[in-house]
This record gives sequence, C-alpha cells and structure tokens, in this order.
Amino acid sequence: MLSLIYKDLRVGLPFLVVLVMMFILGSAGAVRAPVYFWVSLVFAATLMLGLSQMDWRHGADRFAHSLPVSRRLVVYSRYASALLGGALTLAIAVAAGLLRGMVLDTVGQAWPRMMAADVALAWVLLFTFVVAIYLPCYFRWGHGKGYIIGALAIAGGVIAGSFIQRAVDRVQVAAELPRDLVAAANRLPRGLVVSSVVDAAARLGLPLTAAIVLGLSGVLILASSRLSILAYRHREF
Amino acid sequence: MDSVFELRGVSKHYPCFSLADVSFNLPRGYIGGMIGPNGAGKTTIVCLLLGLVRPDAGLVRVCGLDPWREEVAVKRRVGFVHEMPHLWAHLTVDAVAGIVSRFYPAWDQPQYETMMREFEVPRRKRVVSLSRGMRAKAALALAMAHHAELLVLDEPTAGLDPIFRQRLLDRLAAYVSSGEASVLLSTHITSDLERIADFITYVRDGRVVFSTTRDEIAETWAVVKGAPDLLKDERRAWFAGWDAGAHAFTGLTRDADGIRRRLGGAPLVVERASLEDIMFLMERSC
Repeated sequence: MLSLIYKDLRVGLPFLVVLVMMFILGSAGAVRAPVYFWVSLVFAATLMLGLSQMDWRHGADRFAHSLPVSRRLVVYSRYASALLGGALTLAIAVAAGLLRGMVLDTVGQAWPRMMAADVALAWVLLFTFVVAIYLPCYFRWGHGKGYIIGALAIAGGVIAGSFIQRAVDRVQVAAELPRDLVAAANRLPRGLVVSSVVDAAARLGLPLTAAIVLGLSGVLILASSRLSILAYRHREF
Repeated sequence: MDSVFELRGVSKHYPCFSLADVSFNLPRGYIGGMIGPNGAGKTTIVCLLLGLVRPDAGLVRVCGLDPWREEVAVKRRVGFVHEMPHLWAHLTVDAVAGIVSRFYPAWDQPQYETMMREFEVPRRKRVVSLSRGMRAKAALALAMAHHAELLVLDEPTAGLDPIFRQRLLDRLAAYVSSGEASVLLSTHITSDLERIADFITYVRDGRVVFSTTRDEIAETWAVVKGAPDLLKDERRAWFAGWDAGAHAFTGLTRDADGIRRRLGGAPLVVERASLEDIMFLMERSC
C-alpha cells in the first residue's frame, strides 16, 4: 500500500505548485474569506481527481493495474492519497489563515473566519462528502464516465443541501435572522453544512462537534470504501 | 511439459466481439508468438492472462495460478508491455522506474541500468518527450528488470527500427535461454516470430485457428501457385485460403501433394508458406 501511496505522491507532485499558489493567495488576502474556503475545497477535490486522471490519461491505468497489487489495496491507497491531499490542502489553508491573522490583516484580532476551527471542521465534512461520492464512481466506471457521474451526484448533493437549508430557514422564527444573512455578517462561507457545523460548535462546544464531525466523516469514508471495493472487484480493463 | 500458462475452453463475450472456446498453452522456457488481424482477440487474451479481464467460461492458469483470483502472485511473476507503452507522461523514465521497482521484490536495479544503456534510452528525459520506439524500449526494460517468469509483450516491436528489433529479439532469446523464463509475443510482424518463436498461435475472429510449433507450420503449410483458370469455384474449397490474380492464383494448403494429384499434372509451383502467407491468404479469402 505504501508503494501505491508513493506512486500517487510522485505522480501528483506537480500539484505542489498549485498548493504553493493557494498559500500565497490565502495569506495575501487576494480573495474574500468565504471564497477562499471554497477555493481550497475545490483545490483538494481537484487534487484527488488529478491523481486518478493522471493514471487514466494515455491509458496509464492499465499499466498501473498490471502492477502486482490487490484491488482492495488499490482502493484503500487511493482513499489514503485523497485524504492525505485533503489534509495537506487544509493545513496550507489553515497556515495561510494563521499568517494572515497574525501578520497581515487582523493584528490583535482572533483567527480569521476563513479557516477557524469550526469552519475547518465544516471543510473536513464537505471534503469527505466529495471523496465518498466520487471515488466509488471512479472505481466503478473509471475516470471518464466516473467523473461525470460523480460530478452529477455531488451537484445533486449541493442542490439538495440548498433546498434543505431554505426549508430550515422558512421554519425559523420570524425574529431570527436567516442563516445566510448571519453567515454573511460573520464572514462565513454560505451553505447548510458550514452553518450547521458552526451552530453545533457554538452550542455543543468545539471538542464534541469535532468528535461528531470526525466520526461522521469516518463512517462516510468507511462506507464509501466498502462500496468502492465491491465496485472495483468486477471492473475490467 | 510444464506450461507457463494455459487457456482451456476460454470464452469472453462483449457486445460487439466474442472470444470463443480458446485453448492453447505455452511450455515453460519457450517463446510463443500470437498472430492475427486487428480485432481478432489477441489483446483480450493478453488481458485474460494478466487478470485484467475475467473469463465468462473456461480456465486460465498462469504459472499454475488463477490470474483473476490470485492477481498479486501472478502479476509478480509476469512482465507486461502494452502495445502503446503507457507510462506517466510527465515523469522521467527513472522516476517511473523508481515507482515500478517498489512493487517487485525481485527488482534488479543493475539489470535495469544495463538494459537502459544497451537500449540507449535517455533516462532523465520525460516520457512525454520520448518517441514511441523509445517508450517501447523503456517499457521493455521495466518489464524485464524484475526477472519475470513470463514476459507478455503486446505488439512491442511496432515503431522500433529494424536494428533494434533484431537486438531485442536476441535479448528475448537470451532471456529464455535459462529454461525458466518464457515469452509470449503478440505481433503483426510475422518475420520476428519466424526468427525466434518456438510456438505460434493464430487467432482470428475470437477463435484459435491453430496453435502449434513453428517447425510443424514450416513442414505442413504450403503455398501453391498456378494459372488462374485452375482455381475454379469448387476447387477453392480445397484451400485454407486463396488469392486469385489476373495472371496467377495462390492457394494455401496443408496437403500440397493432394492438390498436385487432384490437378493432375497441371504446372504448379509449391513453396513453403511463411506466416505472412498464412495470415494474408486466410484473411484474403474470408
């Protein structure tokens, strides 16, 4: 498995340049904080897509699958690489936030909201959702068709999330401000997951929210990887 | 004789193509050649041997193992070169070798370096900037550097210059000389097989037409040439394949003496059939 992760890291090395760019972008405050949240999330997803795309491009996946390694390990290692890429991106985003908070923008203030702990937890949950949806599609249909189906499924999830949020907002007491307005006022990224995690952190405390989010992410990844193994077991090249 | 691989009654169905009842084997320590037109099923057979494709029916064994169920053990024993050598294009050849070597406990770095020098592959160049021939050479070096028991080469010599092709064939002959390693070479370049293959398998429309030794092919198959009026309609059935031109006909047969007898003293030229003759005439008369 380590050989496969090494392969992914070696193949995905050019992405480091983009990671550096993202750090510069974040620490220089070139984009608004909520946008930076989504940019970093999209980048982490692109990193995962890029790895599978690089295997798929020019048919290198057939070569990769002629290497002596079991299909189960191929699946686990791709999840590990995706999560490693996600962790690296998050670390860069957090570091950029830290630098910006300490030096450039908000001297004396608290951590900027773009990657505060509660927002970062929402980021983790969203990234897990993307990984959990995309990778089973990739392992079932390959990068080309799997990418389209995965993207549609993720888009479906986003649309469903926005509908749920509207419904939640509608039943809120009239005196209470809608979540989107609250988010905007706090310079938070919009969306159901972010507002729910930030709410939960405020009500339950950060440690408990972190435990819930990480537990949920773990369950999602576990279920998704089982699905990927099932899908990949019968895949032919 | 111990077989390095064996296919017995193997079938695989696709919407537009089927491999039907394929049976042949390759004894250990020999070079086997697989010929056939495009779309005949050669690459599907290669994929079956590598466990990249699962058979619908029949038995596939490589080094005595099932490549679908025991994929890791099989792939460790097999070296593979695909017809379009697919490597990670943005990496250098050495970087690719660095990745591949980690998967094989028997990886032989000095052997890899020797072959790269011998094949004159620029190791520090990115794969994307290499010509097709250079990529094929790099892929061959990667496949041969882990002492595979079976080398499966799918059209490896396409795009290679004749001088290197000859060197490669010598290399392959040396590779099997220990008696432990074997090579399956799938190619359109039949002259290569005539030089080094011990066994030839001819695949057409998803079926094995014949699978036998090169010597037996040389002894049994013949090309008969004669005046075009000798090849009347009912006589065409005497031949396994034929081609009629304005000035002469050419027929492929395993019974040249019988044809001579039947045509009763008509002037004929009988020659040994080359693999190219066999392929061409069988396809021509389809």
